[in-house]
Amino acid sequence: MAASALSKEAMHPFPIDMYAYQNRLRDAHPAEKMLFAGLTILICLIASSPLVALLAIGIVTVAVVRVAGIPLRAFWYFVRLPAGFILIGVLTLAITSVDPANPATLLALPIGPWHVGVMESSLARAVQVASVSFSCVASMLALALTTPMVDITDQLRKWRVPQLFIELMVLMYRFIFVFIETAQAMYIAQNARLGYSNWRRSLQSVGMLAANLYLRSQTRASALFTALTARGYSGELRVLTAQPTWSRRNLVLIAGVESVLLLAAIATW
Amino acid sequence: MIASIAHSMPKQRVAMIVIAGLLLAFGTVRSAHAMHISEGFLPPTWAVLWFIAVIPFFLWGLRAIAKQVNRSPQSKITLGMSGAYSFVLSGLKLPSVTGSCSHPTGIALGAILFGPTTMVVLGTIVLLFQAIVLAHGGLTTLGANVFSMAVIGPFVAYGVFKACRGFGLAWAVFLAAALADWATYIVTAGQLALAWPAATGGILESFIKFLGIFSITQIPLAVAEGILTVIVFNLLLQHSREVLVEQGIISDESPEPATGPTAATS
Amino acid sequence: MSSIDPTHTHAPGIAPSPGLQDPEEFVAARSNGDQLAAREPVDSKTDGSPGVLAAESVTFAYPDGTVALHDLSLTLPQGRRVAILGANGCGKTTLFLNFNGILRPSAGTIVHNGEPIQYDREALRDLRRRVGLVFQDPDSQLFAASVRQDISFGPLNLGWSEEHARARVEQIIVDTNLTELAERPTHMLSYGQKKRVAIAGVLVMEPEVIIADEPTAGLDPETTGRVLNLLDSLHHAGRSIVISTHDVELALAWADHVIVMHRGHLLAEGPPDVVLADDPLLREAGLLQPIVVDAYRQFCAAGLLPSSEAVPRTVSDLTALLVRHAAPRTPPNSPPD
Repeated sequence: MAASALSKEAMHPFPIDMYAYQNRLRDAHPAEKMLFAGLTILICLIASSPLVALLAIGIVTVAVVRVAGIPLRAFWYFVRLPAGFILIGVLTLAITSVDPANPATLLALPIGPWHVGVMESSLARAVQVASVSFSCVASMLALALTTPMVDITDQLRKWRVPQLFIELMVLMYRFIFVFIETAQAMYIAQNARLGYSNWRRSLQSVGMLAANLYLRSQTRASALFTALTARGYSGELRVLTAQPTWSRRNLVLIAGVESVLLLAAIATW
Repeated sequence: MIASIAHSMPKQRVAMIVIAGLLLAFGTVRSAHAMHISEGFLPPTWAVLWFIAVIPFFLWGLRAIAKQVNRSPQSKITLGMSGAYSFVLSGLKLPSVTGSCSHPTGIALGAILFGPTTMVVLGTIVLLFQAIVLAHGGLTTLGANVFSMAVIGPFVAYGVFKACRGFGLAWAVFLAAALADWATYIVTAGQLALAWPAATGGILESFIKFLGIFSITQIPLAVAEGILTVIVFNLLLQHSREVLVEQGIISDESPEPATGPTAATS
Repeated sequence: MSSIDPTHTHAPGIAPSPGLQDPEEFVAARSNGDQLAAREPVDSKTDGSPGVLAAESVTFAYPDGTVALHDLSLTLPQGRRVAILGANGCGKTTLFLNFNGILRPSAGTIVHNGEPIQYDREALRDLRRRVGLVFQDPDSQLFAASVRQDISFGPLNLGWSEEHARARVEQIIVDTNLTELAERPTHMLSYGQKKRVAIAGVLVMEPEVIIADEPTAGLDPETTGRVLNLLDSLHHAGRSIVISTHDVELALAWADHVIVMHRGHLLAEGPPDVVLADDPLLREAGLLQPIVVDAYRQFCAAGLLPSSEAVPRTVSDLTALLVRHAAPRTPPNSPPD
């Protein structure tokens, strides 16, 4: 059984999700983790300071790596996932129209009648936005890497998020994995028949995959409806929710760490 | 901080180093999902404002779904499956002409198949999952991303699809997909520009910059997605026309030939 | 869960009866010609009793016009292991959905414990608790992200209190050996594990009959053994178990009563060693004769065995027969050659 579980994990489409079920904070109260991530994000966003952001990244890294036991390399890999967007975005912020005569202009290239370059302020803003953004990504990951989706939906139930919304979340989460498996099997079958040998064929193949998957999703829906009806479904997808316990130690730790961050934010204001 | 270091070193050198560093870092990034505003990229005010902006659309969508679900318990299951499909669709690799792969959005296909109000809710969940399990987008930027990708995109797609039915089904589908993508980019560029106006040129300059950056990658991508959506639609028409008719997406008596922008690829 | 021989699907261990867990003893009992003593003392005929479920002249047509069941009458005997055999599209699944009240016959009636079933909300809820349906594809049955939550779905639909539901769910998790999987997300389970969770999700509702559609299709021998062991343990608890299968070997070794369907009609029903020894009948149903029966027939034709014996149901049975007839020193009670 261990071997089959391992092979399953090896082909898990979402490694973040996989860690959520296998870390040392898995059984901690989801609201504690949400509180930690939420407060860190809030302080970083409001402080909007590279120093606070760096401090937050440090704190979150310790929490994720030392406390939750997620490998540092994996954590950095996930933090870098949105790097494409962040770096393009801040480059766009850094490079701006400049007045070459302005002493705050660091770089100026003449393009036609204008000058394009970098100013002290635009560069500072780029660094600020990038650092704050990465700190928020890291904080969000602290939640995502330690909290199974079941716990998130359970917590949302307690917070009185509309039942229908949560039920759709539950169904979607479960069947995303089923459909990905189906899509992967279709892709392999197409690839084996040279469905991706050139651009045109690739486009045609992706189109066939998407169309087939749509039809499968609809037949899957009626099969699931039948099976759920057999278990007494009559419109509501009620399940028992877990009963997590609060940890005084965790709450004190969160309070302490967030106070430090808050003080740093006030100091750099 | 940067300014203080800059005073102790030649300014130009500092700027060059930072920019070169950013470019270098960018080179190591595998793929850019330029459509999702990532976590922490919007200042708190804008993050909150976009949440407020999507609330009415979200409640509208949720109410429409609730009505549907009250009529038949099966539709809840179908909606869940449709949402899961939308998520997987947005993760499919779309072959691009340059050889590398990008991701389609599936916004238009979803809007045409499931309706734009439904897509507001399903799209919100898709974006929430993408933020949590894929680190695409974010929780604080969820409002902004929902606005561009789950509100503007689907409604533009649906509107264009309905408006362009006269040009033939294939063109309507193609235009719906391509224009929905472009509308989404324009809104995203606008959101970024509003949050981060340029020092000298203000919001407009910032908008033009972001739009310019997006257009490099996203114009061809939108065309490719348009063609892909037509292919998918044609296949659905050929093999399971009754499914589309049943869901009221096309009417029974329109035997339209599968021609249009895909003629080149089929 | 008792260990089974993974190299052979029909190891005697998978069909034990109480007090006869030892395979040697099992074979010995069978080889004494006391065919039914090895199992519960059941009569393979339905003997006119109403049975737990019955179809009376049931015809079912889908909205697209496909007639899946034609004037079908059959009875599922109480407290037995029943195997329904038939080729794809013979109407097995449609019949099951009729038994559970999900589909309603176009003509004829479904009878549950002697009473025609009612289709009002309350009656259906009660029927669905009593008649548990396990579907072939667990991915079409499990909807929740955690094993425990999925199992809790049925009990909450029955309107049980949360405490009662929680206690039942925990009990079933222990009973079905799912303790180590209970914390796993559904998408990280193997196919066979999902199948076991799907059975638990039905079992938790305390049904009196469990109908499993192709419970062993697509499973490796070890998992097949686990699933059959689970079904057997439910049977020993007094439940009627009904499975559909194409696997004639499995039906022969496992079932007390066999029903063969073909294109929505009942082709045959009766004891497995009679029905599954009827080659022309099986061919008509799109099935093949079990290898054990085939081998037995060939041994008879070659003069190795007399054809007067009851048809063996497992390889062990056949071996026992051969030992009895071919070995030079046979016990005195063996028939003369």
